Amino acid sequence: MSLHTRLLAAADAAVHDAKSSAGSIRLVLTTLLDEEDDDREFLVSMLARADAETRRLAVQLDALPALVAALTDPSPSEQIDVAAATRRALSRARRSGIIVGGSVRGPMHVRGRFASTEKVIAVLIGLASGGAQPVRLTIGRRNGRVFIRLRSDATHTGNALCGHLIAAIGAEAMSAEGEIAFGWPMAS
Amino acid sequence: MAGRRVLVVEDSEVAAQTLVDVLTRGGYEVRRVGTGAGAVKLAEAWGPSIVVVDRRLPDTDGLVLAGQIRKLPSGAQVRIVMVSGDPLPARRPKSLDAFVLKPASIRSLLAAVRGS
Repeated sequence: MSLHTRLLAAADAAVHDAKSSAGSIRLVLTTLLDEEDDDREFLVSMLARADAETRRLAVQLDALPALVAALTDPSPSEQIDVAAATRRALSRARRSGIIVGGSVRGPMHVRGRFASTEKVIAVLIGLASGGAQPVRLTIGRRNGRVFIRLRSDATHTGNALCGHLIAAIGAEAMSAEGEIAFGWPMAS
Repeated sequence: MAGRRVLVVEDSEVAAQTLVDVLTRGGYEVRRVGTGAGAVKLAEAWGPSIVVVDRRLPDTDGLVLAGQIRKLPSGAQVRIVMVSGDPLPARRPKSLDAFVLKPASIRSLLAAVRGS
């Protein structure tokens, strides 16, 4: 697939996810505007939903520069230590206020581009957090592959942008319900 | 009660839950699924009279799903409302009874569900 096609597909996914979040927020707000009962519990739960979706939208937008950088990275694909990239991504995510649990032992070698991989893993941590929830990170080796799993109470598997981010760093999506997971073949 | 059964097929948690809450408060019996495969199974087993379907689902296109629901034994009587961020082609597909463009207001969505 050409770079042009990949960029178009990624932009389409990003717009879809952003519109989906904006649509959800509008649905909540117009529900409240039409609400005639003085039901405080309903009001609070609706506002909490809009708040959570606003945070989710913010981390989706944060992911866009990392996606474009990874897709257009001119550096050659080479053997990299993905455990080291993940440690740096953890540090980056924590600096942006995301609570991330889990330890990373390494090295674990795969083929890729170190700088892009670090940035993309950091934004995937942000997406897994939904912008607010603590994330549990697991990294390991299994069946000749290195895998990373990200999970929080706010992780949505259906995010279209995630698939493009994972593909942009040469990984394959392995996500199950409520998690973002991906992996690479181990480099020999 | 079957005339008040609404199946919401939407993978966005917030949009789906908001629609479920509003429809439930409006007296509808509502169930929700996030995939096309789950929607076909539930539509066959539960027999909703109205299906609200998102265009882009994780496993299928909402238009394909609408066609599959139409082919079910009771599918011809189901009111199918599509919600999408993408405009439809100039000629609305025959499988749909109503179409709502995102971002939608709750009022326009409810009007499409009621057919008013």
